Amino acid sequence: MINKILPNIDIETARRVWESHSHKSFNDLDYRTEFVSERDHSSVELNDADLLDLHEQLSEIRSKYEDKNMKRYGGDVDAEIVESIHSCFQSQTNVYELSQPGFWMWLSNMAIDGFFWGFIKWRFGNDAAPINWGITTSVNFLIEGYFSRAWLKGHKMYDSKYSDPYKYARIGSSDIWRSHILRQEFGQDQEFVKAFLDTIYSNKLNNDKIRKVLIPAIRAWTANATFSHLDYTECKNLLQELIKTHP
Amino acid sequence: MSDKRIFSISRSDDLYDYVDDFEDIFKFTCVKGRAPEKDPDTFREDSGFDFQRECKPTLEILPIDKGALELDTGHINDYCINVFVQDSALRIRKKIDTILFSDIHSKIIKKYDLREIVDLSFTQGFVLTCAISRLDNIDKSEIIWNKSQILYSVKYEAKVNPEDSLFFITWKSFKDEKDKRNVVSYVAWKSEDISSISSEESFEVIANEDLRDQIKRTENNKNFGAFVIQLVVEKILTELIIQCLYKYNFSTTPEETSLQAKIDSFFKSKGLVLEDYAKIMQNNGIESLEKHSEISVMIQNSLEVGRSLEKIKFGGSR
Repeated sequence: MINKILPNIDIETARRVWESHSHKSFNDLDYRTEFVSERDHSSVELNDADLLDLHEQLSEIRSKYEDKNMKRYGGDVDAEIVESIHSCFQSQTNVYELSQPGFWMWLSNMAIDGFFWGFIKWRFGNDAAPINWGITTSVNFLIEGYFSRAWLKGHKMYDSKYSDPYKYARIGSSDIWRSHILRQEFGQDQEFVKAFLDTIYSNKLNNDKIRKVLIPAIRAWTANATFSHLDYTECKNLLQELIKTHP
Repeated sequence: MSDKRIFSISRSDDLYDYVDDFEDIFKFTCVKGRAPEKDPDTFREDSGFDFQRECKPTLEILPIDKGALELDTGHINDYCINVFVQDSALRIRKKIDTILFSDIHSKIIKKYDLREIVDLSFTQGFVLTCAISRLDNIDKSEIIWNKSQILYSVKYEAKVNPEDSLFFITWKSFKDEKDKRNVVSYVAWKSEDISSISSEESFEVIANEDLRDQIKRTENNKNFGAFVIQLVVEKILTELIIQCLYKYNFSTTPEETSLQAKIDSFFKSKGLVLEDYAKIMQNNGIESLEKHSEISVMIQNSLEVGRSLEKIKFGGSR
């Protein structure tokens, strides 16, 4: 694997770029990109050409859902982009580079002449807040940005031991992921997340039951417990126990 | 020169290394060359610091006096210490060590190399947790029966200093023609949660894109620019603080980038306790209205609005 270094922009630049798209006056030459890692003669920088396959895959997804109502199908789009985003970057760089807020701001706002900016605009519509483009100072920037969240889902759940390594990154609605996994304390434990996803689908738990019964039960349990050292089966058994005791 | 040499020899006496309480078991440091401490302060660095390479987490574990320890369930050798590390940006937590109590006979020093955890990066820092839990599940009739339950835990944190801007401005073209002409700015609330999510998820400060050039021109006017902008900011700040007091969450520690945490820090810088104000505001009554007035005065003082007005020169301006 070539360890490419990734372009970054700061939050002020990202804000200016975001606004320039709204005015249709974007020109990438107007903005300066930076690199977090030190550059030397052996450094290979990621550029637009490295994103052409990803561009093609996302364009296909977009045309597939072009005329569909995003309120209904948005979750399907979110699930479909995970593999494309994660596999594109996994093969080109490392986690340190991918954990930089400046890279996701560059990708979401500047890369390929604003292609990714347009994708987010299409997905969320005109009223979407800049945070979806990664424009935030939050420590949780990876969860809040649209493309960084897709990568994070892939990174968190990718498991080469399954025939479909993205199995767990694909299942679960956007709401489940954002509210009930990524933002929760227990969402940090990978084996627990797998068990959680399997539990809610095998028990056919609706959103109301998850939100009002299961999540409070898990929260109450984790006040004095942690799942980080439990394997998948232990997590699954414990979740069944919690469902049994909180009907 | 004398041939005499003086040597001193010291030995650690195991007897005094034993502790009889879980609270005294752990010491920690993440700074290379610094001795582990019982309650180290949170290690803080500015954004961009490479926690993965620069931090050297070192955990010291003292043996426990098994005779002095009273447990509700089982023997201490039925328990172990699990050590977890959590990447604060990726929000992924991993077990990095398990230490059996039956293996702790003297002081143990554990050094962890974060660079070995290749799928984490710690760009926003990390939390190292030591948790004492059962080695195996037992019958549910006992209070502590499941491996997940924690008998005792301690957390050590290394993190980036939070961004201190209270808000950013989002310029927006309004759809309504009347709004386009008349509205300068407003606070758009997105969530009533102001404590567990970042401030940017709670609200946005929206400004009128169509008036942007005019606002910028006003801001740059050296005569009255500062005063006008301060009036706009004062209005926004007052709304943020008043809403924060009404929605103040007393039951949890606020997330560091939340509106509640940011306003709390602003109040502390003024020597005020946000919680006291929130209690009064949430009780309503005349006291809450008085606090509202007090906050308006405090913000104007803080922004020095009157001083800016004083500086405006009227002679020669039209």
